[in-house]
Amino acid sequence: MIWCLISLVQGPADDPALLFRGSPDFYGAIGAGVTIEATAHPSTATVGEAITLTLKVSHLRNARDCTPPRLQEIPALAAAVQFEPDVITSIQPDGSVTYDYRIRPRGPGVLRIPRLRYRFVNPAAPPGQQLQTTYSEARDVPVTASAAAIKLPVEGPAEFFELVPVRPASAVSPWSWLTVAVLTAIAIPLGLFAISRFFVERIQFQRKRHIARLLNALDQCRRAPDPARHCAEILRQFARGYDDPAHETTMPSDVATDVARLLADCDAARFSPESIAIDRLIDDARRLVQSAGAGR
Amino acid sequence: MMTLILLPLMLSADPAEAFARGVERRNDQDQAWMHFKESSQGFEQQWRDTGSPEAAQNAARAAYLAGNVPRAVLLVRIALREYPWHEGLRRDLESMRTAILYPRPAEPSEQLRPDPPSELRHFVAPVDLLVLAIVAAGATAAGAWGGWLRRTRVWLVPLGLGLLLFGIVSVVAVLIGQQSRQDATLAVVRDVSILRRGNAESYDPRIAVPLPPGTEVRTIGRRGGWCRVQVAGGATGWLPESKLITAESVQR
Repeated sequence: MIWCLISLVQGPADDPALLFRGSPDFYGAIGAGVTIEATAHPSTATVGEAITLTLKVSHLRNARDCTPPRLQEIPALAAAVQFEPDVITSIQPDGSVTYDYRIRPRGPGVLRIPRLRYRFVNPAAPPGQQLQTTYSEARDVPVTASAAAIKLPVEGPAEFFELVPVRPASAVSPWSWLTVAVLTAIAIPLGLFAISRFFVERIQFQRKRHIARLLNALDQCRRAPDPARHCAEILRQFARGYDDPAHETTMPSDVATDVARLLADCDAARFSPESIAIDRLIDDARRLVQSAGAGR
Repeated sequence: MMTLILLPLMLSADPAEAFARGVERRNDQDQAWMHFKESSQGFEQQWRDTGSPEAAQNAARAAYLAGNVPRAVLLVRIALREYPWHEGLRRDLESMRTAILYPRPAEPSEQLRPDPPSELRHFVAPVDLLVLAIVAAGATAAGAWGGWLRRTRVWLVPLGLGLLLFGIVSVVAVLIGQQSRQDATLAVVRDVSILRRGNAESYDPRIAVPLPPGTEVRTIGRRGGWCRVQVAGGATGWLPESKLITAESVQR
């Protein structure tokens, strides 16, 4: 006995149709006086041969919105036949809809298509009340054994039948990498800033020391036998300081002009000492070196 | 005891081989489903072990071919939560959604089919942001270094560009983080179910047509064996917990 129904409606306890519970019972049908009819074609079959089980539901108002009843969830029917995945739905202008299920009997004998009923909502009825059709007639399909049973294929998009090469994922989440990168990106400029400050201070310190040495030498050169030559030498050292790559700067044009003028004065003082006062020359050179040191 | 003995053997089974056997027997659904199911379980385990998105993709494909569309959809969605930029996962999700018979919504809020993944996180990979962050770091460093040493305004250009890139990277990262949090309460309808207005069978349907298996929903709350869920269109209602597969049940 494969008496089944596709309804969850509570019925009398002794109702022989209520052998099976738990399948979905409502497929969104709205209408009045809805009827259901089940037919099977062909009327006889061999094992594995496709039978079209047609379920016709009439007097629907929303035939388009209804989903096909899941007959494959009726355990007894699922045990007796194999369902093809696609259900062909045809909507008629008169508000009826037919669902064609392709089923294949699994074994010989009499295949009984159970009596079925269908739940629907009648808008004219009290709100929320769901009604049921009367049972469709049960159909018997004699099934004979065949030499080779037909089997259903698995269906799906073609690419799903191929595997994707599995690449080992990184042990560290990519978001962790990103966090590290952002933190690094913040740290790098800060680090460089700190380093540059440190180096610049070092450079400034060296520069100051260099200036101090030059000033000391200028003071000393007053007592030298040839102060103008010494002064010229110190000015050349001062100028060479600007060529030091660590300073990363060039001599400003006004300083260069002053250095050139003072060197010319030094030469003049050497060859005609009476023309230029050597002390004033050294004072000028001191001022130039001092101002250059302060400017840096 | 037998399970304990067989467990190492079961775990050591190669899911790729099971998949190949399933493909070999694809003309016999019953046989093939068994192998695809075995393969799906194997790839799921591989995914848990390695975290590889491709393993998740294979697990989902095998689950789909084993006839378990809801699990396949859920696997892809969970993997996409971790790897939202993965194009293969996005493509597979769309193929799976095509196979689900979503009913036509009576109103926009009742739409059950989610829109294709098109958020920012689906197009920006962390490696893209990583590259941007490195470029930003380089530009900022060069600008800061050069500007400090040379004392010229030209260096403000790379400094400004670097800081701007930093801003962009930060905003994108925050947006992606916010978008990812929305996926935290993911669930998929396991079986045809009616979305109801309350947490009992006696309540009226919230959406007249039942939700087909594979419908993706977001869980909002739970009470008495029922889950309050939100469908893609925004409508909320209640579904029995037994009709749902939640992300927690297949979490890595």
